[in-house]
Amino acid sequence: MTEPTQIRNICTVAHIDHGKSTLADRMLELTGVLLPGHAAQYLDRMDLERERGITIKAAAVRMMHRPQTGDPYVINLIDTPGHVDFSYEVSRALTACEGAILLVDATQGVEAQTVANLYHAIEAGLDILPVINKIDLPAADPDRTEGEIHHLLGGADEIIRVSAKTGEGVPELMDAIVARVRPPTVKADDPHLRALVFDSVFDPYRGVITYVRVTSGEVHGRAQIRLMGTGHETSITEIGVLAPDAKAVESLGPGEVGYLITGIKDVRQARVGDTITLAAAPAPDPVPGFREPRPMVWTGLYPEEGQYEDLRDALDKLGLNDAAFVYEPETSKALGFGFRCGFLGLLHMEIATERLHREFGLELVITAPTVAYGVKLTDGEESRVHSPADLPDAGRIAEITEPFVSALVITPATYVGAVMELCRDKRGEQTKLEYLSPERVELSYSLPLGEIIFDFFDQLKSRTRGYASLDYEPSEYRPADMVRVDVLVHSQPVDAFSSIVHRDRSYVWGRAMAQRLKDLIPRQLFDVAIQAAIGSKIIARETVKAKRKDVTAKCYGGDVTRKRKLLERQKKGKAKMRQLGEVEVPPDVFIRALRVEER
Amino acid sequence: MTTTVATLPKPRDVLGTFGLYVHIPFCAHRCWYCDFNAYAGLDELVDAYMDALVLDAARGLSAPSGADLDERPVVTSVFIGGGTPSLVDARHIEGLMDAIPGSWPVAPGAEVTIECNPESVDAGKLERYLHAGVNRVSFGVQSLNDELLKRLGRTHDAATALDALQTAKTAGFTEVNADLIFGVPGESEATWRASLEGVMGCEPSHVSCYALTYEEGTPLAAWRRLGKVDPMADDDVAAQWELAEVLLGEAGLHRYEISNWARPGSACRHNDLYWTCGEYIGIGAGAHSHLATDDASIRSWVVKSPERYVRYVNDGNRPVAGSEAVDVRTRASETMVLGLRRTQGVTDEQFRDVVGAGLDEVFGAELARARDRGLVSWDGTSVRLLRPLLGDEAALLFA
Repeated sequence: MTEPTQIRNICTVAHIDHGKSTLADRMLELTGVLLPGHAAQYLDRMDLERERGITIKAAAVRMMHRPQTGDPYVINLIDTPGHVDFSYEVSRALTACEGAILLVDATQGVEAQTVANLYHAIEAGLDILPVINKIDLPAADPDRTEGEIHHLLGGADEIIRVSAKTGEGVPELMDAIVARVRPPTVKADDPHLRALVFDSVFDPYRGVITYVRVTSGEVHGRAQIRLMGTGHETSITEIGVLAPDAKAVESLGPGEVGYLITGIKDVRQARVGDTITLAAAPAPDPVPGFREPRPMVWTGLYPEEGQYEDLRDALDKLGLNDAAFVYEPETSKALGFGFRCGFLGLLHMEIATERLHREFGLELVITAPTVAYGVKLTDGEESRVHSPADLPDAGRIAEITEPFVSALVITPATYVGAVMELCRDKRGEQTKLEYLSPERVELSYSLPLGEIIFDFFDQLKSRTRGYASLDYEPSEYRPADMVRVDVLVHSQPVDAFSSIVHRDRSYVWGRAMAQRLKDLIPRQLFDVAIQAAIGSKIIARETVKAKRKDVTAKCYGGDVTRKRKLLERQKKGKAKMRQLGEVEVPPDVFIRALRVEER
Repeated sequence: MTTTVATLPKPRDVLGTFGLYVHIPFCAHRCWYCDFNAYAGLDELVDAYMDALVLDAARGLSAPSGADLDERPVVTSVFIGGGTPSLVDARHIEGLMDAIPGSWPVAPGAEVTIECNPESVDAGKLERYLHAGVNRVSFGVQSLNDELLKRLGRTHDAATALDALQTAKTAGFTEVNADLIFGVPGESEATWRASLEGVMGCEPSHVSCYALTYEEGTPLAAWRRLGKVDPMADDDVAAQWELAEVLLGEAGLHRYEISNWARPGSACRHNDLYWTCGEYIGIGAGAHSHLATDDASIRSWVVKSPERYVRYVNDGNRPVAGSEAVDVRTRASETMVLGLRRTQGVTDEQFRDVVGAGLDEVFGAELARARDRGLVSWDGTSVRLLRPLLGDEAALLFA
């Protein structure tokens, strides 16, 4: 065990691509943990993470810093996820630290995620260590960036300038961590073990590995432990630290960070934010702040024929190392048996569906994402509805509420008007407008999440030429005048096309949807009517005219082989079609149809 | 689909037909839509090529090994196609027509067709064809609108086309075909009507109308990809076909296949071979054959390059580039896919003759489905397309 005075627990808050992982690489090299020439961005291990340049799972690494004089220090660097979808995981990782490096790219300046995460770090009471990165680049403007940071922090803290790429300034940063971040505070009078779980991952060979920060008491090998949130009890098979590869240790004491391997086989039993204590002498209260993960975005996943069992197995396996992901069986008249799945956000959803495709080889129909609406019935019953199909008849509904988010946009001043217009279009309510510098503006909005999950980010990027950045987190539910717009294809309602939409926009939505489907549904042997309806009221109608001709010309000079190959190709294409009653549609029509608005 | 039969009869025995196709790949100029095996600028090869054809006809080299030609079947139709067969000197055609009967028994009254471009014939040439034994001429008229002809890359004009049709009749041909193309961008109902009426004014015995297709590798397909050519909407193409059906019918030509109309008794027998899964040997560069084998039949094709063809034949080698066996399953499928294009459709008897099992037995489910979808009529003895323009939709069920 290390004396708390010799420990520094830190994390890095930064916008995506501002160089967080590269800085971690340099720190690991400098402390001798890694030899130069290792794989870049060591901490981002999952293939998908590296491909997308983001960190999905937090990880913690321990390094030994030896100052020029005095005793060595243990520095635990806790890597936080870099995307809005994982803001709860970020907040738990922050709780495990006493200090945060505020890392800003000198070529980009302060961005939305920088600000959002900084606010979280300040709320968590962390010592902030502002750092400007990428000073080696010709486009770097460290002075302007420094001005923005000072504005944000409201003071003239000393800012360290580094190049994570070349390593310049990193030794000074290490010294500053020791000097300017406080050591863990330890309640010496409280002997009860409290270990905050700030991450938990599933390892196919070792089961669930939980990453913990001990706040009080000690944990020793082989102890019987209890997870205070889930009540689950198990025994420890290994205690260790990541340096950066797993290294077993005897025990972890107050202020220390490490991992525990237990008999748990499912990450849902060891959730992020939970507190581990000793089964024999449990702490009277956990580390505050634990909550169940709250899926914000829902979608239906439907397998190809005969792959239902495969999909269920794949979802089970995915759930083993992603506690934030939930799923339940669902039946669609149009698509058959599938699952309704809840995700933290759109990126989380994309990652999960991509993994289902890539790692499990599944071809899925993915229905349009929706948020969870609060529904209060006239008889007083309340429920959450996360599938348009589950929305009760309008007559039975007393009130619908929808989730809002607090959104933070940072944009060059030139685009303020464009951003405000977009947010207004999306039913947003401005809560703040502040100039970070004469050129850059911070805008805060309350926005319905349901508006954000379609194309808000794309729109924001296109209206600001890619310069604006966005961060948001769930706030509250508010009453909203929502209606369900149904779509009928050839007189048959197609549940997979139904959407819950604000009443003011329902006509526009319905018309756009019908037009879009008209383009997406191939011509059949008969006229196909496409109708959008609210209840029994038709609000839009389009017709896909019957096809009149498909026949190909002659088979010249007796080349029958070619004709047959042509037909065989057509037949293969046909086999992939999905059947909506009598109407054949391509399988991607479900997701494509719902990328409809504004186009 | 289920099948129960192991040995298959020879189509030549069942149908009593056998075709000989001769490919002459030379053209003065390639049309923008053409993806046939045709070459411009190969004039120097013509003599050698025509000699090779005669040699090939005599020895049957273009047939694949395994084809049953020990006893040469009686030829009921000859088709000299291209390319532009009328481009080569008439003596070459005479030489060919001399050689064929020495190598192949030709039935009395066999149909002998030659394809011609309007600009490469005159009365003298046509008379020589007739004397050589050719009894049917087929002209690539394509359109009687000069602007559209240019758009297709044709080098003749409407007047030349009409003149050629007349000259053929004057020369003594009773069987005259005009090929037309519809659905050309820019074609209106009026121009299409004018082409049909103009051609009918010459009283041909046969008219073929093909919808323009954009074949991979042609200039037209490239222009379409680049947005320089805007294809006609399918509905308008369909309307032009329907207009042809009306106008040609009024003029006494009946449609016997999706794209072919003829006076009674003037249907092209060689053409019909293709739709009835008949046998034919194709000689010349890129020519296709369908020939019976010991178990079933084989489809094969000759090397496309005229130079290589000449070399192979002169060396006494088979110029065959590829082949595939047609088993009973494929034969059943082809009988439907091809046969449904004919106006009379496919009869149970005809199907049973070539496949050895009844239609209902082999394609019961598919027929019911096609009928339920309004694509065919099926009464248990014969199946016919109800909507010829949706022929592929029906064919897919049997493919």
